[in-house]
Amino acid sequence: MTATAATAFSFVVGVPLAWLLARAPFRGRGLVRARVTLPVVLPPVVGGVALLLAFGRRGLVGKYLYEWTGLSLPFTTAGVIVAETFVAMPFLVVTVEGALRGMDRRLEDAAATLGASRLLVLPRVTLPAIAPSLVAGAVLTWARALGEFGATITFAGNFPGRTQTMPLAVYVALETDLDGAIALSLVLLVVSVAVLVLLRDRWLGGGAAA
Amino acid sequence: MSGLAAHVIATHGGFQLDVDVEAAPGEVLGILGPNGAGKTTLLRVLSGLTPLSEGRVELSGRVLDDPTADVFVPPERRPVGVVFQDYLLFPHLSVLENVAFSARARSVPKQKARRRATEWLDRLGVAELAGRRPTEPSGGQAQRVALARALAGDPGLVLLDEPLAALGAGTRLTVRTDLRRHLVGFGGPALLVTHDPIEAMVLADRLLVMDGGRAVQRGTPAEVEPDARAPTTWPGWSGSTSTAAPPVTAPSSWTAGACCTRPTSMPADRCSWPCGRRRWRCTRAGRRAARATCGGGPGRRPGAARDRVRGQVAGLPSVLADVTPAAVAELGLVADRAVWISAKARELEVYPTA
Repeated sequence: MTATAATAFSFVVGVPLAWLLARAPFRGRGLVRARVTLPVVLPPVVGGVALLLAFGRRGLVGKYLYEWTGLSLPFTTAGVIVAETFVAMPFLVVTVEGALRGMDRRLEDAAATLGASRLLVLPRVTLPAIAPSLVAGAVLTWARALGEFGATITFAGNFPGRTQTMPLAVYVALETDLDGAIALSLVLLVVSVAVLVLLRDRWLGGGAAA
Repeated sequence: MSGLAAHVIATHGGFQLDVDVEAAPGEVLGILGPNGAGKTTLLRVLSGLTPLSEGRVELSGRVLDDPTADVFVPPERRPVGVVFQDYLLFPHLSVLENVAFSARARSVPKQKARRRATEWLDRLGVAELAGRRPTEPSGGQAQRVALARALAGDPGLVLLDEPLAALGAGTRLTVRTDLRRHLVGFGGPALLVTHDPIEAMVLADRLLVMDGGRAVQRGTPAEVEPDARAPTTWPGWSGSTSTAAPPVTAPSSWTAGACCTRPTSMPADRCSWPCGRRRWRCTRAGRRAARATCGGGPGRRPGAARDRVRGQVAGLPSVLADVTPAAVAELGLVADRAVWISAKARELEVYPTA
């Protein structure tokens, strides 16, 4: 499922980004944050157009990417992941950044006095301390990526088996096969609810144990 | 020299700290002062969380921080154990894993780290908490876990930041006595930060009184205390620099070290006597000296003047005695210690109860 891949990708890029935004005082931080959160307010189709302009075969970045590596993102499965990440990652970044700012930094100090280097403090103390927010951010991201429509269809197109995501399939099926569309929608609904219920139980369980 | 020798000049958020600190191995140095005196900043500098701007920190002959020589040992490589104000136990780890954290951070194998952590928990008498989450234990237990965690790293210096502030008045008594015992057992220099004069007097061998980032007084608890009533030299008193400590109101006859006599006119074996504003009550008075054991240990009486320690003395008769912190320090009053108590017969008023 591309949504899962997009979530994983968001995690890899988004968590360090959130850490940078929350911790590292650098010039232009406001700009970076604005850039990261832009897709939340941007209409997804516009996002897709922007991606096309940036990563298209003749786009700003895509041109060099294609010339140097022969890779082209638009209208590929990878393109779907990029589009979904673009739209959904802000949810993760914003959630995690908030948690990093809210956590008790003295816990990290305590870890340092106990001999943990900064590289060790992050996985042993910081990330566990904000674990609920990581999970919440990932769920939001995943849900957003799963439902992504506009940016995906604009940037990656709608090729069955390659770049067609479930919402796209629902949309196509709606015009030709109403029952199929309803069935697919139901599947999406069930999956979404199931994920929420599963995670919620885990949160509650974790809360009781903690 | 061995022990801690530090000349600390540091700026922290516009606040200037300039103080000399020395502590010998096995010594507990109490750092006393009001909020904002720079006590916590001092601990941060010594643990390496805040770098020095000038000066030098040396522990057992090893330079930990010296800006002029460009030496700075980061906190994770300093042999310094810290007990933080709210203990700061890691909520996502069990008590055992908390104590094993320093060993794990130094790449000690898991089993060995856990075994050592268990030993430490055992030594501090909280072994039964090993599997629990650190949010579960009571304040007193959490404090011991925090101490175990700090000591498990085998530090050469222990820093304690308001170790009793998070405790209720009741647990504070027993925890304080325990803490003193463990600090003495530790063997290295220990620095204890507090804004509570009584806590400092009871726990520390020597005191350093700070105000506005500077040392204003040094000495043993007995030396520091007499001047304590002058507000200029005792900024922490009553939490305000403008209020002098209240004068001694407790009867001077209440000193530990003598015996309790009953006035001949005492009619019954049930009596109580008011003394000053307070009233002591005994169930059976004896003419002979009453040997008693100090039950709850010295503890500050809630709601009373800040310069009094109330000790509950179990025995016949049982007595509540209010003494000065200096007396507590001088006489080494701790829980379960046998004490003698005297009262001047002619200062007793005796009448039957009901």
